[in-house]
Parts: sequence; structure tokens; C-alpha cells
Amino acid sequence: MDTIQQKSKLPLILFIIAVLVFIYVFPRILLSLWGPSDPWTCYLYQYGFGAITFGIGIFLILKSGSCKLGRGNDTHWFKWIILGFFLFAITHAVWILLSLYIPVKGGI
Amino acid sequence: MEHLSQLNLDPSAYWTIGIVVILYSLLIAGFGGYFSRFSKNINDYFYSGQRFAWWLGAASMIATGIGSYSYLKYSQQGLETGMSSSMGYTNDWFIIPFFMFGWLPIIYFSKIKSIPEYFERRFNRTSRYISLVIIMAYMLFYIGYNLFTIGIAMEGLLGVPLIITVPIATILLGGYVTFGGQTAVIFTDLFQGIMLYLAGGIAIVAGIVALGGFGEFWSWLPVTHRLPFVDLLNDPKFNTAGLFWGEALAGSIAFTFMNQGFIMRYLALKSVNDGRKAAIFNVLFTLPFSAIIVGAVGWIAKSLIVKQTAMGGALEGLDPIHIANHFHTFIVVAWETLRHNTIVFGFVIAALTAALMSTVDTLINACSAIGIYDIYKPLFKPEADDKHYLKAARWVSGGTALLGLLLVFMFSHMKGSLMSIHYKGIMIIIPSIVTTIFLGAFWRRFTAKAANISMIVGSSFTILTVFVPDMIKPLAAFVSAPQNGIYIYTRALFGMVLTAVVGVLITLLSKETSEHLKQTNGLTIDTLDYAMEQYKGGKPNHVKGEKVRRLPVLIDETIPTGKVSLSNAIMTRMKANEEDLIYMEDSRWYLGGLRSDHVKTHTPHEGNDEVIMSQETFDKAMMLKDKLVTLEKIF
Repeated sequence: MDTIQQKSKLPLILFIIAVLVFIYVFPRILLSLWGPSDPWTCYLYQYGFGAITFGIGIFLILKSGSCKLGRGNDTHWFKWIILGFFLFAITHAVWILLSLYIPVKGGI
Repeated sequence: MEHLSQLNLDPSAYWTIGIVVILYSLLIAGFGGYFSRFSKNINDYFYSGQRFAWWLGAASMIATGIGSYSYLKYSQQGLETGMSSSMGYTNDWFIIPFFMFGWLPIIYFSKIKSIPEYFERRFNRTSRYISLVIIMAYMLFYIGYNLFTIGIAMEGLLGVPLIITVPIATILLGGYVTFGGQTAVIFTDLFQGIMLYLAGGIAIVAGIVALGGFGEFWSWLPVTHRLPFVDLLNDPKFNTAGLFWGEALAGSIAFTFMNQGFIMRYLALKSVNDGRKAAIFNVLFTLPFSAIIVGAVGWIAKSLIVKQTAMGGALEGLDPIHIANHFHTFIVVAWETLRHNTIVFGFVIAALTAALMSTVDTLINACSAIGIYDIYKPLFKPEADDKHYLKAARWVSGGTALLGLLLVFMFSHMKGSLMSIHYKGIMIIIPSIVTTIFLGAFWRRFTAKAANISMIVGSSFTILTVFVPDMIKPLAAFVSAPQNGIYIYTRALFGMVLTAVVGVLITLLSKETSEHLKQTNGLTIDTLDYAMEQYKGGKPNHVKGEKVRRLPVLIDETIPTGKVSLSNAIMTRMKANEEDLIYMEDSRWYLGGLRSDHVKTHTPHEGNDEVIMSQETFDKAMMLKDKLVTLEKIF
């Protein structure tokens, strides 16, 4: 990361600004579209910000060389990391769908 | 006694439940005592010599991750808000890349014994002691909190005051942790994890059966209680926005990166590769499954109550379910759905005790490691033999258990729900240190001065927000989190942002020196190649080879200690070269590496499949005569 900064600070500064703008704007869009009680607002809030965090992590491990695709088991674990993210995201989405669309006997 | 009357226990039921719990505790203490024989030196006592298989570490993490408070807290949350109680267990994936390819290899290859030690090597001695204060506060908080919750549960269940049950539990715990060490902790936790899932599973199945099947359970559960997320903003003490910043980020980083108990689990494994397997298994399978085990009784409780109300009375074969105090949801529902079966219920309660023991034993062992490596050894007795440190470690373990016991009395005077006491404390303690760990590990330029100042400023202002909560409001507004004056979770975000801003500014204003670069070699994400080389003592060989099983052993005193000579055929199968690092273990997989060691390959021999080594190498790996060995190249 140190090397990245010395080479070109501008992309990093732009990236930080973009992230800050996203943090400010994204939840406001969700709230204006669906309101705070809609499960999809919560889902997108968690996975929207989660994807940013996760993406920064992926960028860092590849850029720093701590994960070198093709070396030892690195590719194997990299695939698991990506797969896990989508597994959680899909499971939560299916869970919401099942919750909403299977009738409730109590009528609540 | 209020909760006691809820269960309507008769005297014989008390005795049965009490006897089951005591027998279970004695069994565990004996189990830990047996495995204490495998702690021969100080490294074994704390880290088990980096030799265990991933599955053993992962299995013991189950019990470490679930405390006695988990059952009570999550069942209560499950009853009140439903399946969203699982949020804390299913939002850890976002930090996985940072851990698997950043923090884990850093601490493993640099052979760090404790997080404060990392701080000294990465920054300076001042950083070590600032971090030590914060980490000890974090761990002691958890020890005291676990003991407190088990005391509360026992008080509600058996009517025995907390002042009696907690010291008894502490003495039992102190027993096997103090004398057993990490190996005892890992093996007892493996056993306890199984029992814990079994008991939780029994309570869940009993509840589902009482409802008339899974379809009935789901059908009677209101939509709000089925959803995996709670309202984004509504409840100031439990909301999705706050949980993301406070729990998914700060809490998960704290639990994964700085919880010395978990760190020691990873350091006890045979390789970073096995650490990665354990991490994936833990986050992908163990945590979601644990979320069900600790929370499902609350979900079932809600479904039961809704169905009972709709039917106009108690369900067939059950007494009416009435949970006057939601805090005891788990106990009340398990007792009713198990249809007052005292033996099975006693076993379930024993599992609750097991949850306490398995979390606290890890934390006591971890505090002891910090006490020895960060306080006693560097400050009081730098040059003593292992025997001395082992003895000192046992005293520290005992002292830590006692300190945890004292904290219980502090908790017993605190007001609020279990959930609020827990998060209020943790969200104040962790923000500054998780941020400093993060910046230290992922930004090489981050300086010692910046680390020290940012930790102090971050912690001080986070504490200040307890008295001036409105300081958090602008940040809460910026991320669209609740702005309610309580800010349990956004307090952690505030502390992290402030620590990061101070740390980054001071670093950018400082000049980078060559000494700094030298000092940080191997301790940051971009210097891991160097760390790996230092760990091995030579260039790593990353070519993937075969794991070679069931090989006979020959003793030959001409082979240097710590090395093994293999045939060319075996070397080829393993794709190993001379001086490569090899993991050698007893071929019986179920030992999980209990009898094993890391060795280096010596010059190949001309014979067949024999693994030739000196008697000392054989003994150090705790191998048994006539037992076959399995070899695996690390790198």
C-alpha cells in the first residue's frame, strides 16, 4: 500500500472521496425507495457496505502480493473467499423471499 | 426465586438436575486433567507447539465462540425480534480476505505470542503496553460477563444465589485450565462443542415436535420474526445499520483479530493453510449453525406463543407457555418442551454450563499467555527456564480466574439487559485497538508515534461519548444510522473513525525512515514473503506435493535433531527438496496432531519408505513405537 501511495496519490484520494460519497448517498437512496422497515433496505445496506469492505480487502491482498494466484493453495482459498461472499448474499436473499411469500397462519 | 417458580421444579427435580450438572463438570475437569500431560514446556502450555489439524482447531472454536450468555441473550433476542438474532453470527464474511491473507499469516509466520508482542515489534514498547491494557480489559470483561451470566442462569433455575454458584464454577474452571494449558483447553473444547450442539439440538427438536413439525413452526412465525434482518433504524438497541458498523466491522475484527483466545487457536494449528481451512469452516458453517443453536429456542418460543394464543390455550401435552422474564426464554421453553424430563433438561443445563466453561477456559489461558509473555517475562524475569514460566503461568491463570470472579460483583450491580450490558462495554473497549491493528498490518508506513497517540485519543474520546453521546450524532447521520442519543453501535464507528483520522494524519506528517522499514519487515501484509522465509529459515518451496501416509520409522542417531531422512521416491511424491519444512504426525487421523512435530528434510537415503530420524526428534514429536507416521510438506 505504501508503494501505491508513493507512485500515485491521486487515484487513492479519488477512491476515498468516492467511498465517502457512496456511504452518504447509498443509504439515503435505499431509504427513499423502500423505507427503513423493508427487509430489502436492510439487505442492501449490509451487502452494499459489506461489498465495499470486502472489495477493499480483495484489492489489498492481491495488490500487496500476500495472495498470489497460481502460487501453492492461494488460488484455491481465493475462490473460497469469493464463493463465500455470494453464498451468504444468496442465502440471505432466499431467506427474505421465503419469509415474505410463505403464508403465516397467525395472520401477523 | 421468581424464575424458579416459573419452572415449577419439585425438590427431586432440583437434585437430578444438580447431579447431572456436577457430574458433567467433573467429567470435563478430568478430561482436561488427562490432556495436561501433553504440555511439556511453556510453548506447549500456551500454543500446543503449532501442531494441530484444522478440524480440531475449528471444532474447539465452536465452544470458544459460544458463551453461556449466548444462549440467554440470543434466545431472548430470538423471542423479541425473531431470526434477526442471527445477524451477529452471519455478517463476518466481509473481513475474511483481510484475515486469511493478512492478519493470519502475519501473526503465524512472525511467531507472535500475543497481540501486545506484535505491537512492540511493529511499533514500540509503549504501544505494547497501551494495547495490553485495552486487550486485558476486553478479555477480563468477557470472563466476568460469562461468569455473571452463568450465575444469573443458575440463580433463576436452582434458586442458588450467584455468590455461591459463581465461585464454584470459577474453581472448577481454574482447575483444568491452570493445570492443563492449551492442549487441555483444545481437547475439552472439542468435547464441549459436541455436547453443546447436542444439547442445543435436543432443545430445538423438542420445541419443533411440540409445535407439530417444522411446517407448523414456520407457519405460526410472524413475518417480522422470520426475516434475517431487523428494522434498519427502529430499535436503538438492535438495528441493522448499527449492527453493520458496530458488530459486522468492529465486533468481528475484534473477535477475529485481537481475541487472544481465538488467536491462540490459530497459532496452535500446524500451518497457515490449516488456519485458513479453520477460518473458512468457522465463518461459513460453524457461526451460522451456532446462530441456530443459541437463538432457535427463542424463535420456537415466539411460534409457540402465537399458536397458543390462536388456539385459545395450551398446546396438547404442554403447560401454557408464559415467559414473564424474556431473559429466561431458553430455560423456560426448554423445560416446557422437554415435558419436564429432568435428566434431559439437566443435560441441556449442563451444556449451558459447558458453554461458560469452554469460553472462559480459553480466555483465562489467553490472559495467562499475555501475563507471562507481556508482563512477567519482559519486566520481571527475562531469563528463566521453561519450568519456571510454566509454574508462573499456572499462577497467572489462577489469578485471572479470581479477577474474573471479582468482576462478577461489578456486573451484578449494573443495570440494563444482558444485551445492553454486553455491547455497551465491548463497543467502548474495542474501536481504537482494532483500528490500530488494521492500520499496522495493512499500511506499512503507519508509525509508532501515530499508533500510540491515535490509540490514546481514540479510546479517550470513545469513553467521553458515554457522557456526551451527541458527539456521535453527525457521524450517525452521515451513515444513516439511528440518531437516538443511545448510539451503542455507532460509538464503535466513532472510535474507529477518530483513531484512523488521527493515526493517518500523524503518519502523513512524519518522515519515513529506513529504520522503520527494517523494523516492519515481515509484520505487514506487503512483507509476507520475507516473513515466510524467516519462518522457514530458507526459501519457501510452494510447489504442491502429495501427503504421504502410513510410513514406518527407523531410529538413526546420525541424523541431526529436528530433521528426517526420506527416500528419493517419497521426496518426489511430496515434491520436497532438502531443508524443506515437513509436518510429521502419527498416522491415526483422529489424534488431530496430538503426536506430531515440524521437521526439516535431510539428505535422502537409498532405502525404501522408512522415515529415519534421531531418538530425540522421535520423542519431541511424542511419537509411539511401532506406530506409522504421515508426512506433509508445508513449504
